[in-house]
Amino acid sequence: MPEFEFEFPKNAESLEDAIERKAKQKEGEHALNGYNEYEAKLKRREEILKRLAEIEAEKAKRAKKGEVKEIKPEIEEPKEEEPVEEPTVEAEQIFEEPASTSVEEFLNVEPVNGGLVEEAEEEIEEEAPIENIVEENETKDRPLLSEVIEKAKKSKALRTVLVAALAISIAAGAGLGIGKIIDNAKVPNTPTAIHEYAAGYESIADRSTYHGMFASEDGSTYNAEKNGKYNFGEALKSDTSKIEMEENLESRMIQPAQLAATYAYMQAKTSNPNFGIEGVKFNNPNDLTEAMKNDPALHQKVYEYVTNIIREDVMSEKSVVGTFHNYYMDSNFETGDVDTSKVEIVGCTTVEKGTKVYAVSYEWTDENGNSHKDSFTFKEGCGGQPIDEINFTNGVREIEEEPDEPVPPEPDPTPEDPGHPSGGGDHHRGHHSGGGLTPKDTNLEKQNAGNRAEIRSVDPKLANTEQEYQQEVTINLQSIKEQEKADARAAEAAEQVKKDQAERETRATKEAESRPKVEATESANEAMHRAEAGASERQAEAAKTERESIERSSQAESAQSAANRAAESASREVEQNRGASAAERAGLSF
Amino acid sequence: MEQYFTEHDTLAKAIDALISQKYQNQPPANLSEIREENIRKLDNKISLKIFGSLSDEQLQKISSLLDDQENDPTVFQKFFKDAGVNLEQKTSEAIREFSNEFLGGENA
Repeated sequence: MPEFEFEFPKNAESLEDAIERKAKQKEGEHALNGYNEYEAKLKRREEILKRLAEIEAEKAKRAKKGEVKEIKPEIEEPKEEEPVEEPTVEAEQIFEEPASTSVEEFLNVEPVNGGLVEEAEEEIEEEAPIENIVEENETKDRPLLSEVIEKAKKSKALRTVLVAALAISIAAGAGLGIGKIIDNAKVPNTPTAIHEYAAGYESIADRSTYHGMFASEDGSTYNAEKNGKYNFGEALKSDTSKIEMEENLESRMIQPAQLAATYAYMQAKTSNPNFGIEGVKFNNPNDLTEAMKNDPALHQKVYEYVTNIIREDVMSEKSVVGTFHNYYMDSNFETGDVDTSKVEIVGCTTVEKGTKVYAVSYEWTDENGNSHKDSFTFKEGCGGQPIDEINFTNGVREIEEEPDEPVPPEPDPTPEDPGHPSGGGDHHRGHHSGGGLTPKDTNLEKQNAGNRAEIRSVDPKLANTEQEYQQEVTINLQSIKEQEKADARAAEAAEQVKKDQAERETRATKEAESRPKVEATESANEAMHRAEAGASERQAEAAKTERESIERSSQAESAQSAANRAAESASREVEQNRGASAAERAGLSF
Repeated sequence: MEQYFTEHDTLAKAIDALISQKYQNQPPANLSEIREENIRKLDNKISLKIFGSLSDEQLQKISSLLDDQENDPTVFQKFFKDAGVNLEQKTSEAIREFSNEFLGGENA
């Protein structure tokens, strides 16, 4: 019989893990506070483990001698400074099985991955989650920094400023989706801004050469991974970052407090020391918040201003800062031919203005190595042709307003629904008002309502002028209708006079033929006089009617003339105001 | 309740976006714990990014403003402007850096 040699199990750590796992299940609380406690527990378990090994060794010895007896674990009582449960109790709790269980049985447990060290590290990490070490060091090295941050958390005003900046960053998708695109700009598989441009272009021209542009180049082209075709429509569907940004932007910016803070933030970026909107000053964002709550038109105005800036200056431009090689940028829009000169977009903005206007600024290098910057815009429905010039001033772009189609006057406007100013088109569909900036606000009536609100927000006096104008237009139209009725009545009366006269003459002729010559002559003369008298009365009546008609017509013309003058005056003032505000916006200030 | 330097909801939106990118269809069991923890970390990162770019002198100045309980946001706006700190840029940088760390360098 070979001599028995006890060998400490090589997988003792797994045993220990099993012990700990059991302990966790039994105790119901496996979390220890900090490394010291963990160390104490580990030490205690090592003792248990050691003792178990001794027990098993003793069992083996006695079994060898045929003296198998139940052995009570002889584990030392815990020391006073270590107020933990008794090891015997713990062992029972851990194992549940009687202590006499053989090592082999005991070891036949589900293996637990990881050793003590790894598990210890995990537990420490769980119980005491570490901050970024660098950040901690930073605050430790600069105690004032930590102090200021703690104070900052309690400052509502400071947090307001930061929240606005954060909202813009989040809205711009900083670091979330767009960041990935920028960082991987050399192989831009999903360049959002390019999508915008391309989708716009695709919707405009829908020319097959567009796809060809991307397929015609070497492996560096976007569609190299797309089997030679890049379906921007599909790409856009799968690219939810823009949609999310829009949703985020709208949901956040529609809140007055958030909006006011962001607006204030934008103003603070300028050198304009005054905080206000087109002449109306506010002491702080809170005042603006309250004002917007009470004035939806003002709220809408600020909302559109802020969201436009974010869309144009943050979302779009930031999303394309990189090195997007963009062959189609240098293509001939008419022929679709591609110039293989590499063009880098350095800015790309998208503006919604009723229809979408795509504005792109780009940079390219000619054969001599000279760098050029250029920009252009185009809009849907224009075949991709540049429609107007854009000016980039301090990162804010102004687009020339295109002439709007005249709006036909409604036949019977009422003061409650004064209709649309006729003849002048929609002068107010501008950079930050009505005009499709809000998707829901696309129909003409809402647009005009927005325009009127804008006029009121610009100057209350103009609102009065507009009301007067609407009243004059109403009066004017009523006068025109009366005039038309009068004209019709006059024409009818004149026609009737002619008929009556013809009848009388016919009757007189017949009477003359049937009487003696003298009598006939007298009768004829009398009849003629009567006819003439009757005719004169009717003619006089017709003339009177005509005079009245002419007078009314004259009044109507005067009223119309006055109305036109008022409209022109209002329009001029609005345009002047807009011009001033556009100029101010170009400098990011009001 | 823990106070955040910026705003919990806004931070949560960013973290949710990152979590969805990282875990996709397999959310971890302790999702809410991870979420809150990272919201707090991002908040810390933003605050460190912003204030960490200030000099000691500038820190003293803003500390004084905070001690005086300055309640006009425009004062702080002007402070950062004068200090040459672009808040928007700093927050974006912080988010981007955090994003890279959180996604395991995926964005790097």
